[in-house]
Amino acid sequence: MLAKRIITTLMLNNGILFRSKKFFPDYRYTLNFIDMWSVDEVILLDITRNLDFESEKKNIFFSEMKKISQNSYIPLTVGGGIRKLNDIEKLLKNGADKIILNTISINNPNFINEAAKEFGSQCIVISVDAKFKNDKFYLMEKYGQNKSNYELIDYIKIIQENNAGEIFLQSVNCDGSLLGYDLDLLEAIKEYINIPLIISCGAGNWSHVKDVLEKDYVSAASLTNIFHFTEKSIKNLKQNLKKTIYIRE
Amino acid sequence: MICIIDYELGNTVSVQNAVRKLGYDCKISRDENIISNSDAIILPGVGSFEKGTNNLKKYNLVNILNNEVIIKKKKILGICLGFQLMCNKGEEFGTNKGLSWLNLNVTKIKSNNLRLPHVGWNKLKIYRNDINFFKGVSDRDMFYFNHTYCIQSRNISDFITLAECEYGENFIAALKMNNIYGIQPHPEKSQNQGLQVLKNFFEN
Repeated sequence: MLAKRIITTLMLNNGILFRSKKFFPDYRYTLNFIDMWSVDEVILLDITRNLDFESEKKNIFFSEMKKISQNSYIPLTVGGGIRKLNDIEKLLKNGADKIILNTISINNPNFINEAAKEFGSQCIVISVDAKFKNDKFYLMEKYGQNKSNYELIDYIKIIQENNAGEIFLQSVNCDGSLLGYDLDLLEAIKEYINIPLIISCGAGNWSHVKDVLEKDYVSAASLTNIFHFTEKSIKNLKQNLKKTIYIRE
Repeated sequence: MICIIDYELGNTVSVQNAVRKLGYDCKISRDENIISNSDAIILPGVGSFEKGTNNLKKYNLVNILNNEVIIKKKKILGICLGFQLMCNKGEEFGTNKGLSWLNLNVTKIKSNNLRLPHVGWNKLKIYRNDINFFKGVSDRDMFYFNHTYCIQSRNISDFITLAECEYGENFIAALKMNNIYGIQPHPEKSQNQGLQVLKNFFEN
């Protein structure tokens, strides 16, 4: 049986690890807190604004990414600023196993299909950033700050038609809140999801993680903020979850 | 020296990190001389079957690999797509011919409503044949999979099935045919048990 995954999401701003709150960099911490043996996968996002892959500054990110990939024998999923197929190739050559698209897949959903043809759909994860406002969930763009022109459900259908491999679902409202994942958002989209779903943003304690992994349509839970402050936190989380959730011990 | 084949598809650096961690000299290359001088070959792969076969042809690797593996009988390990490319044909983005070393076909996983891709950690059903490929690996250990297509289990004597996995249907997780080894999950991404399998492959 396939195990539910616990994922650590790391955000780098100009090569420095940050936590985030409502999609803005909050404050820094170090890699030493992350237990690369207990976690099942690492997501690494370059949140440096407007950074082109050809820019000199992008090399700072690549060098940090290499450090992580050389010390973790678990899958590494990398995103931020991908605009061309060549960018994906560059990431895979530098230690990434899967990649995350956001802006480019909103601007041109067919790019997902092009990338899937090249690298297989299992390599292509789409970040879907949603925000609840005035009784409705909106698909957000530009680092979660602006409403996009898509209806959220329409977009979720379109990316799947274009051979997306997984969805990385982020709630702008819950980001950094520690109050739990966005269960209303999950309810709103669940019947439209046919591919593996990673839920992110909002975990504040073990039961929050349990609440989402108990749902059959949630494949993985991403953790950021709280789990980076004690060294054994993921091990403890797994000890706690294993009674009710099928996970890798 | 271990040669990881560079056909522009795949997480070659991840594989290299794992091989180096085990203390082996390792090169990522598609140069005929380097491939020829290696002690063993790894054919990695993160990509579509169609692109995979096209790139093997594009870089003349079909001829080079046939010479090394079929004529010189050099030991080779195919990982994920690299394993699938060793088969007759694949159906990802149209039907495409593989290297045809293994008389098997690559088809979409019949997942019975389970979500595809099959991505994440799963257990193996390991057959404890005389081969040491899974020495030191327990049935409780999990391996990292990431694929939509698979090689269905078949009971023929051409090759030895080393392990199977179940996700909606049973498929081959690892096999051996003479000097040819294939594995569907990613050992380079499966922590200690994955490194152990790579070590066993080199030492066998």
